[in-house]
Amino acid sequence: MRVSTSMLHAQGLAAMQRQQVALARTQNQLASNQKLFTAADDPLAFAAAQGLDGHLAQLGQYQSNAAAVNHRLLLEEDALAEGVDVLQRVRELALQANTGGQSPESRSAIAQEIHALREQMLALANRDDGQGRYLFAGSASADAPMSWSGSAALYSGDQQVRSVPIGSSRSVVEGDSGDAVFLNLRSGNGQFAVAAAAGNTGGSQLTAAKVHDTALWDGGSYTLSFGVGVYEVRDAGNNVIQAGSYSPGSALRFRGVELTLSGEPAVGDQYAVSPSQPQDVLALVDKLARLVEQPQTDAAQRGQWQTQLQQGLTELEAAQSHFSNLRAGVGLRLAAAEGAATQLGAQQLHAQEALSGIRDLDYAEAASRLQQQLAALEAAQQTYVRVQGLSLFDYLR
Amino acid sequence: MADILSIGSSALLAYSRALSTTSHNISNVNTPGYSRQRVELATPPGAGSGSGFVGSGVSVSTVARLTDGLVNTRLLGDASAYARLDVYAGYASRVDAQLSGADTNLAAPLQAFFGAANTLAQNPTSPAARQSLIGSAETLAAMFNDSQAQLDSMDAEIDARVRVTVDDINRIGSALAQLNDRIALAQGQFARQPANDLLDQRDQLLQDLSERISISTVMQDDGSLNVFTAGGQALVLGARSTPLAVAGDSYGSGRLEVTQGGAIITSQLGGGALGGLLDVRREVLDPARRELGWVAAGIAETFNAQHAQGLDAYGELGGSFFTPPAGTALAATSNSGTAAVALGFGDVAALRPDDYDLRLLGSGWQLTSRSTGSVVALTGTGSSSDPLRGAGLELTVSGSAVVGDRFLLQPTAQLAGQMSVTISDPMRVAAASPLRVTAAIGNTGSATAATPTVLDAGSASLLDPVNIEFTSASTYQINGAGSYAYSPGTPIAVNGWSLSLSGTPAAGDRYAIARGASNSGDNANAKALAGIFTRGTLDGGRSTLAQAQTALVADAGLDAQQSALRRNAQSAVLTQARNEREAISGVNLDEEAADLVRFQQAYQAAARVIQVADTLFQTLLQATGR
Repeated sequence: MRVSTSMLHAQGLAAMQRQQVALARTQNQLASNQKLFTAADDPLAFAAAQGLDGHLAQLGQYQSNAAAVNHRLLLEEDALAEGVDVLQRVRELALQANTGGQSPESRSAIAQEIHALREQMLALANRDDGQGRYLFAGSASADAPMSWSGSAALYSGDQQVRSVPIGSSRSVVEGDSGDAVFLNLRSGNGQFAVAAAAGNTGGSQLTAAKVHDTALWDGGSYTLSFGVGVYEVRDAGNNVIQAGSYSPGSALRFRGVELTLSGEPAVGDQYAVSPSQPQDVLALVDKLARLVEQPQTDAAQRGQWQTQLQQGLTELEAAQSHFSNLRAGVGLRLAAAEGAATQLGAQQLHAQEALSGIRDLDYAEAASRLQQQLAALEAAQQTYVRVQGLSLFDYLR
Repeated sequence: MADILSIGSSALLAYSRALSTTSHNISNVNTPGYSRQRVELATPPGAGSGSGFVGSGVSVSTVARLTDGLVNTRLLGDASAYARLDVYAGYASRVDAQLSGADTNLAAPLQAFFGAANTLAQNPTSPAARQSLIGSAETLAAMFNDSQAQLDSMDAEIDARVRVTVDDINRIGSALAQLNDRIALAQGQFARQPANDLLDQRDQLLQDLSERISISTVMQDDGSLNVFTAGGQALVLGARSTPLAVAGDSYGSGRLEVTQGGAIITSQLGGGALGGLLDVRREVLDPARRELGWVAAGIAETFNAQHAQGLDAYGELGGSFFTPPAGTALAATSNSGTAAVALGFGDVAALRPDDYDLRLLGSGWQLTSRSTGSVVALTGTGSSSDPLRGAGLELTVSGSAVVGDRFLLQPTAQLAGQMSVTISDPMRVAAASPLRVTAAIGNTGSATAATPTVLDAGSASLLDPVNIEFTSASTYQINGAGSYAYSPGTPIAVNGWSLSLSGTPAAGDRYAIARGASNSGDNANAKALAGIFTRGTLDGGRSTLAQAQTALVADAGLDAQQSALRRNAQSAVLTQARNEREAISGVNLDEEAADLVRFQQAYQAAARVIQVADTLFQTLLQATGR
């Protein structure tokens, strides 16, 4: 085969060009620590990397959601913990008021403190989240949700609580609405409430009231009245449904209700059993404050007082456990958010490793490739110079 | 004596020609298209006599041009293929760089946009989060606009290059026609001796032409060459050339078509730079623009639909977030009716990144996909209340159409450029659910109600307050009337929304559904907006927006990668063909140097023959002069 002069020239030049293109690419890779610059470098890997990028972005969003929800749940937990403390203090004060040696003045002072605790509870219900929004207002979080009417709490928020996703199919509820926290209590033991009639003259008092058989309890209203050593129970239609003899301290059972009274009831004394009604925690605290102030001069008043205190303490206990349950629920959600954060972190790590494998440069490989390409370019240059330096004309003299 | 003298002088003459041909070769060592020449020497018939034939010297039979027609023809084809792939790969790599480059890739702004929606879901009342959603949407829209602008400018550039290339083809064609004329004349004049340098010029012009368009040639008896395009259109016939021209297409879309004698021949052209330009526009640029617009339509339509189902901070239903996209429908200039078609979007999941032909046939409207040629089933009449529906499009025909009228529909080709955010007030971002449900405090059942889901944001009674009261665990009343059966797990649907209960309701349980408040702290709609990122929205619900965008990037990347590989392969083929041509026709200086020495020596020897003849003559004169 013949070789033409211009072909030799073009071939040498093309070889150098090729080496330089490869070299420029390696240089760019080393300078940027990236294997892929555009999709054309490796379309499938590039698409996979972009998919992982999107996945990582999504995981980052869940992470940030978990952190945000964590913060808000901690705010709620603080508030609920404080609520439990307030109720505990109310309980201590009520029991303190029940001890002997309390004068009307000291009881009045106790009542003042319980009123103050009610105010504290109200402030708790209106606590904000540090960003000008109220914690316990549902979606109507722009305005303070709770107010005190003088006898009951008025809730102006709603029941719409936010949830945020912390995984592709998991989300966590951010809070509880004010009515679920502060309003959703029931009077009495949650099934029924017992009240001593205002005209009772005996010294009997309620010591325990519970449902002993939920299947029998029908949610009706009943009246328990006493004769001499006997009792009878009438229903709302004034029909006697049960009657019998009575001795103080023995449990009375009817329609699934079990009442234990102590002390001697007077003839005609009555106790009303009625189904529990919704009651808010502020009204409960207020009721106890006003109870503490009530005079306790004779046995009848003391009997009334003790019956109300028994009911009030039962309600308080229910409120305390309600708050504790809410707090436990918050704790579970916190654990879920933290668990999700840990899990997301692990997923992120895996995705990043996969991404790095696709996109990041293997320095050792690239550096040795650079050496190889430099050597090849030098060889191409030297070959070109040597070949071009040869000409028969040089020898024609 | 006279014989020696004439033999000597014939050799002198021949070697002087040989030397000048060698010098010609040396001086054209770098001339493109030059084929080396060689003086062909021949021995004239000797003078016969009784004592045999006496030689009469040397003569030049011709100056041959060393070339191989077959190699040259192959070189034309290879150059065409390479020029096509070179242009193709160049544009494909630019489209790829635009779509997948680190700074212009749409994946990151898309992620940022939905990230902002998620931040809004975290904190729906934060003005900063609202502003950030609008800001990131504007960035996303601007980047879509930029991508479209870049692709559009490539399209305009391709148009300009098509014009220039067609001009070049015409210029070369007329130069070829002139050369044909001159070659025929010259060769006729000088006894059909090859007009070497003119032939080289013509071969070089053919080479130039083949780099612009794929051609075939037919040699004529008079030495002229007829040139045809690959599709058979004559470019040069003898001394006459037929020019190509460019003209707009029949829809006035601004797209350039190549014509000859008024007829559109674009589809019959191929190869060369022109073929590369037309192919890359059809196979890479147009699909990229359509897919880009497809993703843009997916974002705008899906986001708008969800946004319309939410409540903004003023307590109003959210309208469109992005400007609603509208496709392009062009009437053929030949239409005899007055109809115009407006193109809107229906079901985004059914939308394809495709162009369509819409024709009015005797049997009604027919929609045909341009990429597959398949007919798309249409429903509806085309009126504004009942538009023609098919392939995710809603076509409203105004004016009157005549059978035979045609329209070109480009639903998504321009959408990426149209993308814009229509709301500017951060408080207009609809983050909240439009409805809220309140369970009555005294409810005794275990059922809890989730936030109602909007089924039809257009329902007029959507935001009307509704009370649902259970009359038993399995029946309920709406606003104190009727008795409807309730089965657990089946949502209650009223007024364009649906309410899901979990747990068992009891008789007397009440749920009040009312319009959400202004300045609400709810995040239900923001969550749904953020959730679009992971929802299958395009391609019949099989692709998320990010996946569709990635597919677009991968497609463009694959085009760029494949065309670069094919170009490199073709480059090797072309180098091989060039080397073959060089092996036959290329000038080698060492060879010419050797020839110089050889011919010089022969010339010197011939001169010596003259000298000998002179000496003989002198000897004879001296012998007879006394």
